[in-house]
Amino acid sequence: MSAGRVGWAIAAGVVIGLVITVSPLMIVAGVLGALVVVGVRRGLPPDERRLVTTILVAAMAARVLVVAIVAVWGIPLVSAQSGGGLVGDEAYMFERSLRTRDILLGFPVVKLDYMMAFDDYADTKYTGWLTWLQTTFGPSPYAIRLLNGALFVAAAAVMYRVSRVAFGARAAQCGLAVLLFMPSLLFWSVSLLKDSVYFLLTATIIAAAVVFARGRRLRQRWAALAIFGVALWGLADLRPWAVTLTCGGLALGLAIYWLLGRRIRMVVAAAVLLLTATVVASSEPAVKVVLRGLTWGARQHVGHAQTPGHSYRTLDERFYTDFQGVLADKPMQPAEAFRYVVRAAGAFVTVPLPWQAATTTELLFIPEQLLWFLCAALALFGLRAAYRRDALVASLLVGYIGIISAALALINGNVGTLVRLRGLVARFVVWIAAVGLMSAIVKLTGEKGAGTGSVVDNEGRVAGRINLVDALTLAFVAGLIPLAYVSWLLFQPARPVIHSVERSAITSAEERIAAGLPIRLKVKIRGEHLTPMLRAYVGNVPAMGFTFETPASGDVIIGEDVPPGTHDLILFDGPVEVARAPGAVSIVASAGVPIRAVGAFTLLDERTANSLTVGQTYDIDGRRAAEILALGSTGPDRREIAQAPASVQQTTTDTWSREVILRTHCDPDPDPTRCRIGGTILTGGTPSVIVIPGSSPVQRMRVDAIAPDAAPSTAVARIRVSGSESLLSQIRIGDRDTRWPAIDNRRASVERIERSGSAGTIELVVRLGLDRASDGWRYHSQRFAAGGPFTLVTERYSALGTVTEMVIDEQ
Amino acid sequence: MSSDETVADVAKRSRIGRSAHRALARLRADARRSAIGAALLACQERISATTPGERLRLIGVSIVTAVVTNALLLQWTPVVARPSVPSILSLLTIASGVTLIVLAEALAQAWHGSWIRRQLNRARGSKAANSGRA
Repeated sequence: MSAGRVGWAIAAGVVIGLVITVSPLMIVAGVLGALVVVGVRRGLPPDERRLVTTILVAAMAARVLVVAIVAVWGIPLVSAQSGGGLVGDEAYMFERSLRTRDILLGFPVVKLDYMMAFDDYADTKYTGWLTWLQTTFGPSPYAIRLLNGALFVAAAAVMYRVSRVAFGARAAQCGLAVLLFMPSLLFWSVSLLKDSVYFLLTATIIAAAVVFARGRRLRQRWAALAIFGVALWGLADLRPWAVTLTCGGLALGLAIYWLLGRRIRMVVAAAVLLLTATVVASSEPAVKVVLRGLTWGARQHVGHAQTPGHSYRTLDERFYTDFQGVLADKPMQPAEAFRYVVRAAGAFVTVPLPWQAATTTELLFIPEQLLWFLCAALALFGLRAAYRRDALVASLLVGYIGIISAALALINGNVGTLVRLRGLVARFVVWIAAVGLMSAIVKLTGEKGAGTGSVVDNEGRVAGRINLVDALTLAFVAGLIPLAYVSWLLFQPARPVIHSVERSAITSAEERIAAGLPIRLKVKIRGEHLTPMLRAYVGNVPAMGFTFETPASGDVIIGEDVPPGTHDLILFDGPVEVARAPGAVSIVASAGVPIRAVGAFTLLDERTANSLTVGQTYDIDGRRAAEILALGSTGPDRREIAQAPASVQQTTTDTWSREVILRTHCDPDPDPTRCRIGGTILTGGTPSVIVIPGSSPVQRMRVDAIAPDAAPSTAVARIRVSGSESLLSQIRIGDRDTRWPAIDNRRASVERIERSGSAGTIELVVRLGLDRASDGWRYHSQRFAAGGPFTLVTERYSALGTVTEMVIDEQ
Repeated sequence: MSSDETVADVAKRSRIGRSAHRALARLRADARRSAIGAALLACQERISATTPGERLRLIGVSIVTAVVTNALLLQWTPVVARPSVPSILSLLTIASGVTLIVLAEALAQAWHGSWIRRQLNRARGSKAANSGRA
């Protein structure tokens, strides 16, 4: 073995190693593409082999070109992980798989990562597949596109082999060329979505069904059945009803094949169909069942028609105002249902007509729409010829196309969605349309004409100077220079820059991300080169989430776990710190509203309970977080156990409680009407247990009520109470409101009882503490005014009376 | 004349068909005359001139070099962008490359009598028979 050859082998190895490092998945996509070409070529005559190779290689080259354009387009938004330039479902799927990857690989993650990883939306096998690819091969936004492109070409190749045996080589070649270069299918085939995988699985299912029906050996049939099962399993959760529609389509195809096989079966089938239609039409329950099904489809259609975008209508106008209301008023009638089905079928083929194009995208789509019209017409024309050539394959295709078309036609109402989903049918229509085209050509005469002139001479030189192939190669290399430049840019993502950080209002979107956990703060970052995959940290605590808006702005949601103080705001791209705003986030412990919490310390040991003192303070970072204003006596703890809507109390022997009035603060909250302390929202009516801010070790308090942080005004009020003598006789001088602790100087006490003239009525003179409010006075949280109600609750009774007079001691 | 042949005939007689055919034929001929084409042909001839054993050994060298190059370059790749292929796979690939280098002659000789080769040949034969139907 010569040294020269070994040198070449090493050089080849270095190049391969370099490419594998840059994008390992690209190598997989390339190998898959090569295998597809090799597989399709096998057993073909030389001429056909060359032609099919040309079509497949050109199709793959076109996909590589589209992916390259997408890559260049996305350069301004690219980051170490994100491909940039992603929108809609593509962005979601890519981001979700990357976030799951980060969790699996132990990279720094935040709550949002877990939420997206376990989101119910789009929880399909394809999401798992995408995650596996990203985990195994690293972030590969463009290689996944190439892989999907190769899978689409593989699916087309499978259909080509089926069609070739069924309808002949030329029809199959024509179908293959149209399918691989139809613009919308070309673009969808290199998306990050499931379209290519779905097509490969359905093509495999149809091919396996044909092999199963035709297989000469038992082993072949078993293999086809196994492949059929695996493909069906893969298809199961990719789209709603995928298995039902696919199996239904194949069953319909087999039924068509069997029925059209003999004239007598055809006649019997036609008679049975006619009879069934007559029976159904004359039977009220049967009509109701059919109408119920169509109403369900109509509801889906109305939903689509009312989504943003360009919609179209197939129902009578009355259904579009208030679908449910209209149905309740008058259900769908048979004539309306008939019109709906006819219009839906027509719209499925014709929408959007060229003059209906409403957007630039739809205008761009017109040429392909014309191609679709041609395909549909040729498919109708070629049906008979296709059936004559291969009844089984033609029937299976017609059955599958028929079922999918019916489902899509009835439920769709949006032009964009229809165009995209019609691709599911178009990829099978083209094979029958190709047969139609062949039949049409056979009936026509070929055009004769002279050859075209050329600037290339007989020696193959352009303008007599340079060989054509050399010129093309030079042009190709020259084209590589800008490509190399943009590739260099691709691996040199611009570093994010933070210009400013400012507080921002919390909306329902952030509360959804927080999923019930309290949000302390939301800040808006303004800067440059921000990307969706960045993660924010406040100091050394991960933020709840970084939500990307534009490359120049994004929001950071900060949770309760960030301690008070001044912190840096840091952005990470994966594990790498890419931007930092020093001291940008300030969290002040006492920024909330001061209050007095009335209740009792709970879950204390006896020693701690007895060691508490009035005036004891609790501090955070040197700032006062809480202070004991009054203390009651120590006693066994009463555990309040909620049993909605009420609760039960159990006295414990192992923990102790002590009544307290505590001065503290409600934490800053997006909802200014509620009081939240350390993540617990204090609700009126039921006691809440809070962790005393700044307590160490942690101390807890059961809060029965909150009051303003000020001494109450003493008031004397006269309350008229009416009731039976037995109740009134229970009320005694010195009775106190037992809803509040004894240490609470607001609680009402009875000072005097006066009998009025009328029987069953007494006047109580009570002393109580009231707080000034904007609308008058309040006794704890209840409004207190002459003429208003007042309830006195003691251990013996609960008396409801009316305030007849009140005197405030302003001193 | 079958419909396939009719269509092929029409396509060949069309202006586009004739132009495409002529262009392809010219491209093929020019490719052989071009410097790059000649270099590729020479490379192909050089590879053809090697024995199967030598070819396997060269493939082994390329595989080992590729894996080593990849392992070296990964040191400069950011952690976040690195693939998570188990390192055992790299070791297995290197082992395969080394096996090809060391046992090249023996493997080339064993290929003639292998079961896999027989199966591949059988599959190729049945495909060729099926293609006759088209």
